[in-house]
Amino acid sequence: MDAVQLVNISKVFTGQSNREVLAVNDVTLHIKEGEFFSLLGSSGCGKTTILRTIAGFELPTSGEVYIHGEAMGDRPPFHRPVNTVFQNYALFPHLSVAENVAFGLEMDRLPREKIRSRVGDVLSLVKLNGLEDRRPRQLSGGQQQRVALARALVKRPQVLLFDEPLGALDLKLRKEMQIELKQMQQKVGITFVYVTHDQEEALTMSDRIAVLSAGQVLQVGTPTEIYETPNCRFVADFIGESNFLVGRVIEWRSGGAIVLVDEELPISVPYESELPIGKIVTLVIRPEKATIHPENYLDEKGLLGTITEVIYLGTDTRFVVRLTSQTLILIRRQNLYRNNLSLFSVGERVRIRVASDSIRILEEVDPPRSQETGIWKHSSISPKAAKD
Amino acid sequence: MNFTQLNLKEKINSYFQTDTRKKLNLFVFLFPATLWLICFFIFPLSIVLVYSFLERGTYGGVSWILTLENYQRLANPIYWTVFFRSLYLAFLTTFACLLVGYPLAFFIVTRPPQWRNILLLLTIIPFWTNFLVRIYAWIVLLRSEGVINIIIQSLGISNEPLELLFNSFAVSVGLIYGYLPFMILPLYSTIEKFNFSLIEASQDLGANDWRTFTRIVLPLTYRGIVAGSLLVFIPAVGEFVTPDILGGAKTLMMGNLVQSQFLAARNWPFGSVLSIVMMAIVLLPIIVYFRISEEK
Repeated sequence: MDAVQLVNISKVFTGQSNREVLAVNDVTLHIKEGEFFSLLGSSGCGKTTILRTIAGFELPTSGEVYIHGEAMGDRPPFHRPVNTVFQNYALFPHLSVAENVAFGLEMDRLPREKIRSRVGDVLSLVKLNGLEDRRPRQLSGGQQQRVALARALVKRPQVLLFDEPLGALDLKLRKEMQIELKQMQQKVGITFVYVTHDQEEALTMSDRIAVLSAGQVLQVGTPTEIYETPNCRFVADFIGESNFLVGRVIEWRSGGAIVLVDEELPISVPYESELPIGKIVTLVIRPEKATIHPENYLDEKGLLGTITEVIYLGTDTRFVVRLTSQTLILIRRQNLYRNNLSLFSVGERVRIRVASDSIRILEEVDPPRSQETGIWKHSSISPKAAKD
Repeated sequence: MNFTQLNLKEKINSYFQTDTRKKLNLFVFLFPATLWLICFFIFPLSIVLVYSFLERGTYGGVSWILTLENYQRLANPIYWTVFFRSLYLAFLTTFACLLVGYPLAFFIVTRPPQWRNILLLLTIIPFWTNFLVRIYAWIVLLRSEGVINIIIQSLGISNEPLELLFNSFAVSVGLIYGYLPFMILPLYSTIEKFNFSLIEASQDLGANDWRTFTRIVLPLTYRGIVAGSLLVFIPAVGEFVTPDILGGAKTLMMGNLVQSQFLAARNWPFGSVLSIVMMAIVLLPIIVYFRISEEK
């Protein structure tokens, strides 16, 4: 049975001057028991609203939330078998760490002895022993985060909800907490539903990810599926970096198509469903999956272009290559050997090759966002810098 | 409006820890206030204290003979009745103001920002009219041919006019009306700082609305409640205008007693004794307040 089931959830907010905003648009999700499930999207995509409808802070305008098969209806938050770790922790400032953690158990009217032992257990689980009597404001951000986690965990909920819990921590601490949270989830076996806008965080921790945009679920899958086989341009763009090449289908056989890129180079790409000849498609190429070669390399196959930029980043080097069609392509090459770092330099003519099964075909074609560039939104190279 | 952050002890401590230069600065800044307090508070207070141990002069004033007679007069139960009435009315006023003011302050805080300012303005607007005028207005409302009685009779609730004026009911109505803003403002400033996501956290952990209120909201807005209660209770205990106008001859409060001793009976020493007793009564809740703010 699914731990959480959202069936056709929609949520309309009435904003200022009675304007209606559709925050969540017909979302259906099945979150499995014991799963680490992430809702990923940029701010305003509806991910937090979805979380809040599970917790009961918002009631869906239409649709139904099921938790372990039970319809939640308009049940208030205090009658739902879920607990939330809030974005700003929302710790009670007038209570000590131990009292904060004990609060939920006191509400369940557990005997005093039992409360004490469970609070002790969970505080050692989150490594906060010895801080029982501190007030929240006497704790560091990371410690506060642990108290918030302990306070939710101690209730042993069937589902634990996280609303960007690591957002306020610095990068190093955040990375540590990511691993710790993941380990904890495996240890306690509770279903985690995790809201984040950080794609790396989602990839690191999740068993499955739902990518959201404008209140809709675009794709649900494992981190590998989401990254390797994005089902639309938004997902390819949002998760990691992508090059988008526009091409025309010139041949289709079962299991693959040949796409003509730049009206000169046929590329064969695996594809499951049928494609009509002549259809314009988008090819997604991840920067690390393309390789860069001298112009006269071997059989002289591959996309021809000129290097416009070389950026050394320590672990790898980024190349920006302008193809003959003027499209810019980003390539990332790991710096495996120290002695061939400066193999390619700006202005050099090169060939770019990509293994055909590393290319993903998308049937949608968006107009390019900038006249001459391929699109990479989350690249550390600004399009401005890449123009030249 | 930081009624809630007043911590005298801390300030005095830090004064003695700073170096001379800072002390000098502090002196310059505190000089006017100190001078003011000495001239117009400590000095007159000392006079009152001294007078309370002297005999009354024949035509007002005092004659310089030490006596404890004035304090012995307090044993008379007539005065006790007035003290208890004052305390009772002040407590009643404070409680009623809290009962009305707390939800109202909460309501104002939860409005959109542009509404908040308008509503706050509305609470303060009564101050634009003279207090006496506003209290006299209650006579128009409460008297036997007044607005309220006319409405009650025309609705057939009562055939005869109700006795609404010149009793302790009228006084408490006047006090509650007069002091409500002093309750609302400190409550507003405390509730405004309340983090409303704590309510969600509490509900999330299984607390229903009532327990969320008693365990989370109330403890965290406690200081506003105490500050507002003090601001209402202290002046209400010593009030003499409202009971004078709305209470008639039967509903004397401590303030009226003091006033009549000084002005009508011309017994300054006994008036001083009554003032000191009143101050002692008022001092008690202030001490309680400082205890609470020290706890944190």
